[in-house]
Amino acid sequence: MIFNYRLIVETIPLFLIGLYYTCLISLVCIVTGFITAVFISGAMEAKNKWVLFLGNVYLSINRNTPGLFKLYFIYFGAPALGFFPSPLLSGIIAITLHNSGYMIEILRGGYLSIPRTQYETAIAFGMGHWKAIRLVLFPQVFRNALPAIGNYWIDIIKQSSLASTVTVTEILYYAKSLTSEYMRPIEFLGIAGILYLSLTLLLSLAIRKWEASFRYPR
Amino acid sequence: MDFGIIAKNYIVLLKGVQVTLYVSFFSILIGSLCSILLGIVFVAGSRPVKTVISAYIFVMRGLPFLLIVFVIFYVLPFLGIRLSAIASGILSLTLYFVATGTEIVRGSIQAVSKGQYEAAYALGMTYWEAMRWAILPQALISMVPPFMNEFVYLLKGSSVVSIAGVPDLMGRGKEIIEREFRGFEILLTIGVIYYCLSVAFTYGGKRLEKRLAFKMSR
Repeated sequence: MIFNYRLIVETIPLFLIGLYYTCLISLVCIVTGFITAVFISGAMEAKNKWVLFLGNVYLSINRNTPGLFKLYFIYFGAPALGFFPSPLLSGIIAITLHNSGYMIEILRGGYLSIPRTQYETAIAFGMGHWKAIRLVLFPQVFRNALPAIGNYWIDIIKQSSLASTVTVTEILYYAKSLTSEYMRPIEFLGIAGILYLSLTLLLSLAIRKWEASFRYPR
Repeated sequence: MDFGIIAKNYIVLLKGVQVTLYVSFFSILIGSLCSILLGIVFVAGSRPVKTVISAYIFVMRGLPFLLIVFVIFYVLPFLGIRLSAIASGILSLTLYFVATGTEIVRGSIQAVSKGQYEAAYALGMTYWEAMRWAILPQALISMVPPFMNEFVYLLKGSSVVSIAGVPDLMGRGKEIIEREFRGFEILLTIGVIYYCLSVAFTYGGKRLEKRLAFKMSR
């Protein structure tokens, strides 16, 4: 099997466009997923019956349905409700929803590991619920939860490839269409694989450095 | 919103559920056996063996599952191996599952305290006798909860193989949508089915955990 280098060089621009869209989707989904998870888990800390119920329903639906299904539901199903998302928007919404469920679980576990007295003391000092979370609880929770949440951030990079099935022009979309066109799967899927491995490797190194910055100097 | 479409197509959907469960069952069966084997080989193996297995895990966990499905689907025919869609779906799910499964097995074997090895050697056992009679029984019980989690994850991930042509629930649903141009009702039904399957597996897993915890506490 001879690698057709000329073909690879010709198609590099397409892979660069794909790389751009993959990074775009991953970054947006990491940020929105994390912010959603922070808000929902913070709200569930207030131990309000209705908030807990709604939060659990949200968690339950998002953790028990496949990511691909959510993508199809938003892209193919939402038009019946009058909402016509573009492929990119459906990808972003679906991946955000899918991962926010897991992130909320991790954050809630983090909140459980912090003694309730911290929260009660903060409230006794006159801070409101959200101020207590922001100033007292969340910094501690984040440091404990970062390794586990980092795993899901890496997962988001891998899940962005699902968006290619609804014609978002990211790496795997071009890899697949070029493979079908030229019948040379090894070159194109190989490039896609190398790109994805580099992205996940970079992100996991960055997260490890961030974790290390939380440790006290000995 | 016309829910009668579900009545017209429910047999097709049930066939899809059958394929989903079939594919998931065999991937879980073969995958668990292989991960236990690979985990033991990793723990007991020499440096080169550990490097090879670590490389495999790194690649499988850094690449999107959809990419692996495409590689199996497009590259194997090049090498002369012609598999049916369902067989290649089971193969890709198994390959992906074995990566995380091996990590779990490795973790639970390494979690058994060194004192157990020392006690076994003091009784005159060889390394493999110690493994078979002392270490593995403890490791196998502690690895069941994470494995149950992974099983549910695999059930949801099995929806991705529909893109390579496996006629599972998601694939059949997409067929119906393309034929009838009505996405919402079908997708809602499929979502409910996936939700029920996932909740059933999770609940079953929790019950199994409880029974094993009871056994361990003796």
